[in-house]
Amino acid sequence: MLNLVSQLNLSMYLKSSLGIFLLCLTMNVFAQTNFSSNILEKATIGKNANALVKANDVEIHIQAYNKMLVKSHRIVTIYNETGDYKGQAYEYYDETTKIKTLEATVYNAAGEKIKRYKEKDFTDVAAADGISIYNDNRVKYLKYAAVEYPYTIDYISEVEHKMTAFVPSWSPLEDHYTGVIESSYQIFNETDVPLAIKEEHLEDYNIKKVGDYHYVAENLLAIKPETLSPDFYTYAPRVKVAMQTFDMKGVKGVNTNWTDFGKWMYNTLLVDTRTLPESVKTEILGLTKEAPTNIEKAKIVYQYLQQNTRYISVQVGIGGWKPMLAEDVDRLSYGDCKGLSNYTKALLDVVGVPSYYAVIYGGKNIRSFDRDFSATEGNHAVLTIPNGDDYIWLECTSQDTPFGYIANFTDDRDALIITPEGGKIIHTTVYDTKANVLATTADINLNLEGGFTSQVEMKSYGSQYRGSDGLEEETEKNQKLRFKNMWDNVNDLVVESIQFTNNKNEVVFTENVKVSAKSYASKTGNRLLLVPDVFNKLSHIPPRYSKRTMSLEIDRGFLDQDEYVFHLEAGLDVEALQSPVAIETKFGSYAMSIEDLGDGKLRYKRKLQLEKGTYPKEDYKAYRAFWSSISKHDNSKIVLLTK
Amino acid sequence: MKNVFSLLCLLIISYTSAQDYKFGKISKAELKETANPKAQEAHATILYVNENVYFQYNPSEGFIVVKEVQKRIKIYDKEGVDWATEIVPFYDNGGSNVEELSELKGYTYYLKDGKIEKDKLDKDNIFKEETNQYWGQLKFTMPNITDGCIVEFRYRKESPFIALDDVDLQYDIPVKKLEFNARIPEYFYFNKYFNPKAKYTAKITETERNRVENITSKQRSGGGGFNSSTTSVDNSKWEFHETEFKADLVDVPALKEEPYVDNMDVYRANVKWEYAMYKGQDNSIKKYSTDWESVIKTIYDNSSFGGQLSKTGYFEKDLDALLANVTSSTERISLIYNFVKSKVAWNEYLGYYAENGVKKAYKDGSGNVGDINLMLTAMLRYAGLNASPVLISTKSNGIPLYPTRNGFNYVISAVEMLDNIILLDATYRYALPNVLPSRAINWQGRIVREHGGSAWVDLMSPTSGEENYTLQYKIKPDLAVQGRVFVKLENSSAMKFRSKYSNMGDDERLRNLEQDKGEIEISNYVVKNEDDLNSPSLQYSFSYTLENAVESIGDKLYVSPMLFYATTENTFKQEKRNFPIEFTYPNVYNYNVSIMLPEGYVVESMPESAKVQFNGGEGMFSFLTSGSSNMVVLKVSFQINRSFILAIDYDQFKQYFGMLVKKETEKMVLAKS
Repeated sequence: MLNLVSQLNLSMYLKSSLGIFLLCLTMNVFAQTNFSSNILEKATIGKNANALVKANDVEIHIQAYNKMLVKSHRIVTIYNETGDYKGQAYEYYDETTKIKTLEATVYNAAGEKIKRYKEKDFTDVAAADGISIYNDNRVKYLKYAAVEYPYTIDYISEVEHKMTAFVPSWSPLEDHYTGVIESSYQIFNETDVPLAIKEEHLEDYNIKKVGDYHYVAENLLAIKPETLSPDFYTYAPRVKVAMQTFDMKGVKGVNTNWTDFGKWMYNTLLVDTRTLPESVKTEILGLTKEAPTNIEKAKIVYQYLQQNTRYISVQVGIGGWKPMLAEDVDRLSYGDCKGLSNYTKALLDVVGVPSYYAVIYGGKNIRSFDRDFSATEGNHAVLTIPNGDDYIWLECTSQDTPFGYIANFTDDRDALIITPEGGKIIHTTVYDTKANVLATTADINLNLEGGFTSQVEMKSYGSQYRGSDGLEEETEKNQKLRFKNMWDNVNDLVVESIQFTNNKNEVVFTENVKVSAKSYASKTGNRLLLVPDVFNKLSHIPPRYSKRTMSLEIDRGFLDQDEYVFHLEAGLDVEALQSPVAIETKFGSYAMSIEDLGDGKLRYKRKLQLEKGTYPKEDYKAYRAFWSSISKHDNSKIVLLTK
Repeated sequence: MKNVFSLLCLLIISYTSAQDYKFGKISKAELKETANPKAQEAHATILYVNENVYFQYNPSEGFIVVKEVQKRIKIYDKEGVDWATEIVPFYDNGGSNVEELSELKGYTYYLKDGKIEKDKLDKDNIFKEETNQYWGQLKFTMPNITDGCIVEFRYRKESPFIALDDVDLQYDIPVKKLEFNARIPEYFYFNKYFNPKAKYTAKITETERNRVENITSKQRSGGGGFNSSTTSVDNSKWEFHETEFKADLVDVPALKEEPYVDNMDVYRANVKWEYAMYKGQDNSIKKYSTDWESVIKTIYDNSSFGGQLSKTGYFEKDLDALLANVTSSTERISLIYNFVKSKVAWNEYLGYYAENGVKKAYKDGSGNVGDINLMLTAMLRYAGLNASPVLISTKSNGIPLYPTRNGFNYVISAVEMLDNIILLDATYRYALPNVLPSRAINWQGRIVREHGGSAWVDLMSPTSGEENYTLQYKIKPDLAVQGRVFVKLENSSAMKFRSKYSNMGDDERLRNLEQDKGEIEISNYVVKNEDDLNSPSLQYSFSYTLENAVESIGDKLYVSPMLFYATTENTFKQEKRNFPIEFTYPNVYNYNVSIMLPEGYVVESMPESAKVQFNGGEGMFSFLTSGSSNMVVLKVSFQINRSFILAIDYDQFKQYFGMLVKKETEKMVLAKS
């Protein structure tokens, strides 16, 4: 609608202005095509986009191993509120960063200037990330409240960095829902410091290398995210750059491969950070005195850590990369992931157990370090203990995770471990399908009204282990609410008693619950319709895509096993039972059966196994069909007659 | 003599065995406690909190308001560690009149080998940050937090403003002892107001006392030419009265969160103070507020309010063009309302005073609530409409039950017509005439009319949200379902739809629509009237095919007749409630379902028709079925006619809603004919 209006305005303007203004007019039209939004763009490159990058030109001038000037000029049309953040009119700064130029101009849909902002009009605040208690960065940003969409921001900045450990990489497609008309990237290396460079997926997007360290991308269509698909960074175009000699807050570093990068980290960021007070040393030596093996000692140290510290994010120190001193962690009894991992290492050093500090990407999505390109990567720190050919990984920020348990956050990915000899890329623990079990058994007494009472037991293992979610610490009210929400297929469920047993040593969590419901099986005339899958009903089918564009990726496999015995009250007779079902697919298998045991007893069994794997996009449809058939069978009913 | 001595001893003994709340006097008993005996489930408890407020006099600045806070918090387990971090906000606009914090001191106490140990709060762990251009905050985290430890800290705040902070008398965790003390000189009259919605009630006592200030004034005299100057010092005593307000509470229960409450603060026990009057030493009186009319007058007389309403020059030309040839009042309102929405964006600051001034806000295209809605009011008046600002308190600010200026923090605009009133808020793009954004809906607002006079206006939407669904389908021989849906949304329902979907692309919308509707494929999805933000009505329609909705067991078919529109879950799962369920907007849902049966089948049984009222008409549910040989028709209607359900009615409401769920999930059984 707004696009139409802007076109209309433009043509009216053309009509009313005659020949004498021709020169002016041409210039005007040129200006307007730059800053106005037009229908054609929205319908083509801007399709599916919340924002359209009309131009994004970045120049990096490397003037010394510790001096880098980054100039950027960015013109973006924002289509809606969700796209507001794509204006990206902000610069972070701290004592190593100097903003030399900062200005922006905002245009309306017709390309008419709304307002120009100079550096002093930018809002200057501490860069609170909402997580950290403190970080020492500041940011200057443009606080622009849009009244109408689309609008266009023309943004120019020039920033001088003394810290060169992070040379801005180039990701021309930027993000989901973002279209790009033109984006360029050029590095001027005015020094003899060699640059390492890595190009990723450029050919898939027809991106040209137009000179040494000079790239241009044009007409990149906006991409929408899809469920169960690979992460954006695995297919988006990118150029990564690292200086082989760099500076991190006044500390010179060398990076030609992971080995020396790791060595640099060890020698400058980690060394001399692990001094502990004598009293603590004595205490930990005393505690581990009797432990026969290194692993036993490590378990005691880990328990000591969990009991005596907690996690607080504090982003200070060298670029947020140097851990807090172990003695500070000890004194304050808190630290962030770096501080706590390093503190644990200090404790392990005291008791003579070798361990390595490791940098990793933390998150449910699996993201690995790039084995072939060493650069400052990662967002999390953990600790690892070599154990024969294998490694035990310790999450040091949690107070209740079992020893060596890392499922769903740092499992199955490449991480960088820092040894005195240098850095090494190591793959973390993988949790196998058959180890990720949820086993549910229940005895269910069903009465004539369709209500039931039941004793349920659930045991969870591996990535399904529920013992580190803090359930035991919750109030009784919230524990009850959790079961009511988990079994929301049973209306007006009453949770009568709850018992948890957490075996951290074996990593098994057992939940024993007694529940009841006044009416569960629904009545129709003289029939009761009973859905036998009471406690593990699939509630969500993956969404349908009329055209799936990305491959299907399942990060973790699992196995669910259910076995319930129904005891029917006298007067209830079976009219119809479902036949057994067994489905085998390449993604996994599903089986369900009901057996009449006589004496008013029925046994329901269900088994669902899903495998980890990556499949071509064509398979998504079959995968979804697998889930819909599971949903169908999970919903199928036993018909009982009441007399 | 002997007697006196033993009495003294006794006193001392009883004193030391009692709880000691002096800063630093932590007892082993407190540290040994593993759970709050009166609230076992509490992860942390405030053992002691003291707020001490007084007016300090100094000759150069006059009175400043000092607040001293001391808190002692027990942390039982790791779920309670959040209480080891404290945030203290203070006013700081970068100017010279700012609040200042000082004397922050804190320790963490814990037991080690049966002995009390303490760790000091380091300077490194105290952070001063700016929150926005008016406010800063001091944030600190106590060191060495372990299960069972106690943190204790204190600080002092000095303020040049004659105003008292709100006093919380209830926290999110239990409080064992709470002391509050404020001493206010006779020159300053404060009104105190308790939150009437709080469940927990507290008492504050008032006593009079004397205060003496020694005033020293210096005077220089002489010093002309050859005599050296002399300074004479004059000491005099200044006596006046003070009123002392005191609260001494024990075992204050925690304010526990409940679902379906927008903002728990609405129910927190607290006291608000309104600076009502200044009485000078010469008995001259300056009133700040006493009754509604004077509150309103104070607000109106401020140039950031009344002054903004009289400015018209900046928009006259634009408005004349906009309104040329438009005479109908409703059309004028609608044009102006949309004009302001598209001209000035809300900068997310609250306040009924214009922050930037309407003229600047108009020019820059951005302003706070006052800027925008006062501008809207001025334009409406300019257009000959009987428009007035309405002062409002957002939910986080509490309810304006008493005449206070601070009681309000928001303003909207109202147009009074012959027989109705239209409420307008131009800060939210999807809001509609008489459908306000939820932040502005809190009880009632005060309309301030042009020629004096003010009155209460109900803010609850006078028009219900409405969702009308027409669902038509047939069951095909292969048991797939095929049909069409027509939906009409009105008022708040249209507003919610627009705010949810306006940023979504077509594909994403479709996925959103298909979500939780089972094995469905939707096509021909068309939305009408979405972009016309002036229209209170919006329609959409789609076609669909649905698999697995009909289940065949034995030789019978089982179908839930409302298909994906059946409410299958009772969302009210709590056993009891302390506070009302807030719906904010009353709502009506209507479903008209017509089903064409598959060839060769007849209805064996249908869910029975039913009609139920909740609480004398606050809610209504009806479920009516009828049918012919191959058609079944269903009319379902559900209404909530109030914006909230009281806690005492919760149990009844839960059952009522449970009945709805049961009815909507009942199956229709079809048998072979």
